Amino acid sequence: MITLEEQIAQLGDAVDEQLTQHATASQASEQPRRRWILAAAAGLLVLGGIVAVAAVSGIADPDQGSNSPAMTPQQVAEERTRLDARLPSATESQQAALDDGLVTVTEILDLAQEASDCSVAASGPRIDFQWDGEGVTRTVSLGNGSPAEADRLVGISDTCWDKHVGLAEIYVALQAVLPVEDQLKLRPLTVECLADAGFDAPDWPATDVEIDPSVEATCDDQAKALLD
Amino acid sequence: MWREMVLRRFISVRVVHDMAESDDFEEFVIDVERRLRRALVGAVGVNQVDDAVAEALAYLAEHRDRVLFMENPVGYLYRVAQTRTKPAKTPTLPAVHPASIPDVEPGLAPALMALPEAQRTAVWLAHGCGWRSTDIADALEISASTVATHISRGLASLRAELGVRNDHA
Repeated sequence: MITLEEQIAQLGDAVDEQLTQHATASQASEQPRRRWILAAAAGLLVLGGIVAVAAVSGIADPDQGSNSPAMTPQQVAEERTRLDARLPSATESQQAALDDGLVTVTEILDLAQEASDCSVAASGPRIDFQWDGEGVTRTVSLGNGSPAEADRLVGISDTCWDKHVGLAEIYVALQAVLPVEDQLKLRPLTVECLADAGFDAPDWPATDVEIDPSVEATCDDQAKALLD
Repeated sequence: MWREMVLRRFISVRVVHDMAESDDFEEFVIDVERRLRRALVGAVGVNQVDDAVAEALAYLAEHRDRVLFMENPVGYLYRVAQTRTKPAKTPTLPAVHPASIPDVEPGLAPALMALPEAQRTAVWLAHGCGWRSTDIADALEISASTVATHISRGLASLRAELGVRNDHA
């Protein structure tokens, strides 16, 4: 005789087995599209990047909290100098996007479109993308093919992304790694822009207010332009 | 170069792609999906469980960088799925052939699913899925003591319904 609890556990195991069989059969019959959602760049992800960079390179500002990571202007400049050295080998579009030293949301999205066109032209998948206010999210539909076919498609989309967006997205990331003084100047400009657009978020970017991503991106761009 | 690699590790498309392609991530998703499916079926029923799991995995896809570093990602995703999925009016478990569970009371599954939702989910997560009370409390957003109460009352109801003694069937 087994306890009621043990019976429920056995029932759970049997149900688990049924569900696994059902899920496997369902996948085989419906052949759902595999979708890889690839998120990227800027925003909160950048915070992680900044913290990591700061941590490994010893450039973290101990006076800054986790929401205010910092690099010194010299470190930002060093990174940009290194990237600038690679610019001649970048695509013309990336060079054009970077000719003023600033990659806007519009520019990075245009570059993403080029990457998608490149992928399709190479018999790869279309790359869907969007700026979600925190970064560029790209989605690639891999269809119902074999894992090998999926790998091939991912390889094509990756190659195109790297070629057309790769360098610029690092600049975008670096733009978000603003020196503290620039961050402090940037925030009120963005907050003011958001307020003008009807979003009262005085604590931006650490805010719970749901802000239209496109408005946020526009305000971010405007503020950075003003900053320059 | 290494600093750029670190930057990319966290901020670029490649890193997420790398995670998506890595065995670790695939294993993580497979494990999460299976555990969620088992857990959620006790809450929403077999007819709704696919939708519920899909909601949770969609959330995982959108917020992977946040979810991956959570202490209890399955519990969090369980809550996401539960709040986004309307449970069946009379949820049921998938049919299991009695011969495969000879030691289990035939009336256990329907009796379990007839329990009030709070008791049903708590009992199922605790004994049907082996979750710890703290994880259940986290997933259901209730206190651990409330979880214990739900489990206790649920088991008592089941014993009464099935006519079993307190300790043994």
